[in-house]
Amino acid sequence: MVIACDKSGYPAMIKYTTENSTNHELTRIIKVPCLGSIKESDILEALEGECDLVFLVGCPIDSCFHQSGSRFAQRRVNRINHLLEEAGIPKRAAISFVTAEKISEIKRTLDLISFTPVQEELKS
Amino acid sequence: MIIGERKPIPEILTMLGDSKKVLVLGCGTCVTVCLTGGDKEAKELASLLRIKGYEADSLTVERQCELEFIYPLRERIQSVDAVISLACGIGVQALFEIDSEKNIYPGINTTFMGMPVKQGYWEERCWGCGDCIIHLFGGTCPITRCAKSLLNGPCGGSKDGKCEVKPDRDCAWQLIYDHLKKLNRLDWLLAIQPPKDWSTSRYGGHRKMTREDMLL
Repeated sequence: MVIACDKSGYPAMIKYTTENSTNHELTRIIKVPCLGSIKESDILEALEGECDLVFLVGCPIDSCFHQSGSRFAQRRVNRINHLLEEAGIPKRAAISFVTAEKISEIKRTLDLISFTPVQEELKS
Repeated sequence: MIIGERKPIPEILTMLGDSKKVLVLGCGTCVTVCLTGGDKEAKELASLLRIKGYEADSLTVERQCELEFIYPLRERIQSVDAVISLACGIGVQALFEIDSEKNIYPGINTTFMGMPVKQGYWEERCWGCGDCIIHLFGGTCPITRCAKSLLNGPCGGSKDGKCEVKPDRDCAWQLIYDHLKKLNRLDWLLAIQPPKDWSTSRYGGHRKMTREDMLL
């Protein structure tokens, strides 16, 4: 599942999915006003189903349209991953900061996630 | 307020044992403010437990330490195998008082009475010694904030205004001196404080308080 902010993340994701015939299974893209509005419980709720990864895409940290939304989201993603790891759950959240012009970060993050031991564990 | 820290999740899972149906019970007072056991944290823990395969739900009451707030939960508590209380130790014991046969587990470690000094940072401010003398020390409690609980001046080990035991903390006696200087009351430091009577604190045993006019 992808959660993208409507200022940078969503346009970037649309461009990315249009330009790339990707192997990554991005099943749903949800548009939100700002990643700062995403709470830890929202991410966990998404992970309760069959979703193995919640991928947040938003504005670059220093130029977030809502000033601190991307920074807050990054902290929350880190905290969620810490909780998941502590609980021994092989699911993860990831975050990428992009602009509509610079979408290479999306591929880099997705590739990185695809080769983590966690994803290998999920595949097996 | 009472400050607590969440127990490690593996410890919580071990406590749960074979329980399948779990209620995570948050408290809407102190532990909500210290971001350990409020509604948000209860929902997160319940979510994690569901991902782990438990049939978990969460609920938060205004104050778990008062029986009138938790009595209405009796049926809900009876319908589950176990309850994880995210309240302080008082809340956990209050739950046992309404249902002593249920598996009720503490989800947090109650640590101290303190205050949020800044966003995301809490510091101990009171030991509950039962005989408050803060006014004599310019508003800084030497019992709590001095690592050695000294009442008659500094130990001499502080450096640059920081405690020698915990160098990231201010020396309580430096704060006391600074505050009394501002109040133009440095002469108070000349008064000899007698040895503290600890019988009013925890060392005197389990404490209680009564208001005769309020008893029914």
